[in-house]
Amino acid sequence: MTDLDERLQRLVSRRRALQGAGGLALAGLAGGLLAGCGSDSGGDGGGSTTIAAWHEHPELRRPIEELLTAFHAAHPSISVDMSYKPADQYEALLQTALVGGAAPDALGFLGAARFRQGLRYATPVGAKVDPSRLTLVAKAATVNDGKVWGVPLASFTVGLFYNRAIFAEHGLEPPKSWGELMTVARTLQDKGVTPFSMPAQDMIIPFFFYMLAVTAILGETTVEDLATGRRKLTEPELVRAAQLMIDCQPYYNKGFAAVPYVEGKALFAQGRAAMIIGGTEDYAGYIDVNPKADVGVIGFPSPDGALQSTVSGNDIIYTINKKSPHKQQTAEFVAWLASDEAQQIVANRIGVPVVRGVTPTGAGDRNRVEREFIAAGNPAGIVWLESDALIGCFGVAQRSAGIFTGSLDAAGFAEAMQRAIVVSS
Amino acid sequence: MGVEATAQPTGLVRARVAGFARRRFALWLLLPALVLTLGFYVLPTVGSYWLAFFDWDGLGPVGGFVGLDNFSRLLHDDSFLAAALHNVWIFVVLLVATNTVSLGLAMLIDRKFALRNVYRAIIFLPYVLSPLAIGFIWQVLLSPSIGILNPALDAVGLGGLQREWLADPGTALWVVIAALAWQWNALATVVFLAGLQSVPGELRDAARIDGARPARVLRDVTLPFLAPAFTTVNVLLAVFAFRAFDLVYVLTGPLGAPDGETLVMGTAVYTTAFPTGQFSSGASFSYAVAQGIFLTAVLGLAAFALLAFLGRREKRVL
Repeated sequence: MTDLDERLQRLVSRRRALQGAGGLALAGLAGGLLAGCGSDSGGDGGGSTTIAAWHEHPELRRPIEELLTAFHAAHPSISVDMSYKPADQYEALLQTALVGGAAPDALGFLGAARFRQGLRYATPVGAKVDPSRLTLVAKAATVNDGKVWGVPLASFTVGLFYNRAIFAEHGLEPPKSWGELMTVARTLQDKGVTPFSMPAQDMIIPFFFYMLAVTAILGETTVEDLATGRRKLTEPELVRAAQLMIDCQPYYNKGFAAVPYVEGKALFAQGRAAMIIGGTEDYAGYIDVNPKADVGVIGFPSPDGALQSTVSGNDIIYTINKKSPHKQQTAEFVAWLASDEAQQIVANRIGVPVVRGVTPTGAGDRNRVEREFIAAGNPAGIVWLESDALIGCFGVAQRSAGIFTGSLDAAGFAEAMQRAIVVSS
Repeated sequence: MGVEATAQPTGLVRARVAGFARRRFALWLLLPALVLTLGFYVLPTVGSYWLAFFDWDGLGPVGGFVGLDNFSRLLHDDSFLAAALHNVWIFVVLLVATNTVSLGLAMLIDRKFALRNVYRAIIFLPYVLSPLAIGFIWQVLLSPSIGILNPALDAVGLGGLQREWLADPGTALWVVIAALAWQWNALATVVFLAGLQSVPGELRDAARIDGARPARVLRDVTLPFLAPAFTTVNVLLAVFAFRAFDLVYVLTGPLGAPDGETLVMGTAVYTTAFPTGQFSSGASFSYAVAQGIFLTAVLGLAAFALLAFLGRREKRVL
């Protein structure tokens, strides 16, 4: 199934979800009595308790069940009944359940922005989670007024993928500075290889390209600097990030402005382009297209090569439903998600871990790529979409494809992006 | 006389009663369809219009009353106005193409020749295909990665004509219009063909016997009889051109790549209500509803104006 199919399905599904909100609310009320509140043979006081939780990726059922089995082994008196909802309906279902009072004990919000919006339904996890152990991206999303309000199951990281076979064939090393990036691109093009896959029809990849370039200049505090207005994207030093997108244009795939995301990924996976901006979750897609794809990942270089940046965001973030009759047990579960034991399973089977010091231990290319992602982030910045102040930049980037057609120059692009930032005082 | 006077009104009453009973029976038969249409289409659509006067992102509680703000925003939204202009372009180009190319094709396949029905089927095929399938066909034809048009041009020595058809701001909208025209031509040709077959052959024969040249026969006999077909085709064309969505979405994406050059009102409404990608935020469902109302109004205006104009013309020529 292509991204396009998924989007069309999302349209239909979401419409149905919205139109059926009333019905869902009623169903949710009824269902909540059965599932939302879990079952209890001992209440908060002891005995065996089953708490309810939802997840938005049915395809991850196996590794998540493995995780839940490990949790049950560590906490024999608590079981987690995980219900898998289709990703395209997840938010509408959760919203309806929250409004109808039928939400599960462990509330799972998709990403930091939704998590912050949902805090009014939550209660803090307590002192069981040491915030200093959380990665920057997990901490930024879940720690509020010194309290930990939730724990992400995993995170995702975005960096610069390169085709190892193509680079080896032409005796090239992954670039460490913008100068090297241009040299590598030129060399590849001279040898008849398309240097970059840059699908720009939906502007998703260009937005991440720009975000990575800015983060490589500003470092780990990029989001904070921009959100507080300490730095502005219109500063000449940062306009260079937009200019880099323009300068690289001769090295993008043919007709890139009309190529959708999914096709751009396929081009890279098939070895028809040597580099692409991609995330941890994209790797499975490359292998799906071409099981023999031999790819590696590096951080996006800074202009002078001093830094190589990645950006990370949170997957589903779990917190405690303040209306749950099993708050104590749910707190145990949510806090356990931040344990080394849980995060090791996450690292090996699900995504990027959210506590420091945990890396995938298994063999195989998937874990090698994930280890490369973890090693690549210097700085490991935060995806702008995690920030309420910067989240609007994506929509503006989507309307700023003029940077590739000449109707917008680098300064104009940077200005448009800066206007999208809601600077806090 | 007296008997007649009483019998006539009684017959009239009977006839009226019978007519009413027939009409009532017909209304009963129509009722299920009417209820379904009203309940699942008209009422939900019209019932959502009030949202245009409020602030609502599509999820969660409806925000405050904003009056006409969403409509005012629409009139200052360059991107949406550009999309509306693209719809106008599509309509104008298709209007010309329909009344020339489709009509010409209909006349060709109205003649008797071998394999005529095969040609008719081929011409009608695009209308049977899903717009999504048509979009993918054109993508396969024009894609810079897998397209076959550029290699074909190169193979026949016309390499100089190669373009990045869908990525070039100068050609992208024309490609979209061509794809829409290909799809639309199917229906238009068939409607014209049906119209042509309703022209009495003896009238044309009589005109020819009277010495009229083919062009004269066309102008004075055939075209007047085609007036109802012109009305049908052009009114439906207005609807088709202004509500274009699925084919455009598949060809150039929800943002109307490149750089909004192929954005149409349908995709603009969709993108406003359902921003692209899992990372998006800032959906404005209420603004999308306002855009939808505008689109409906434009479409309705165009269709009714054409209907009034062509309807009058029909009465004049027939």
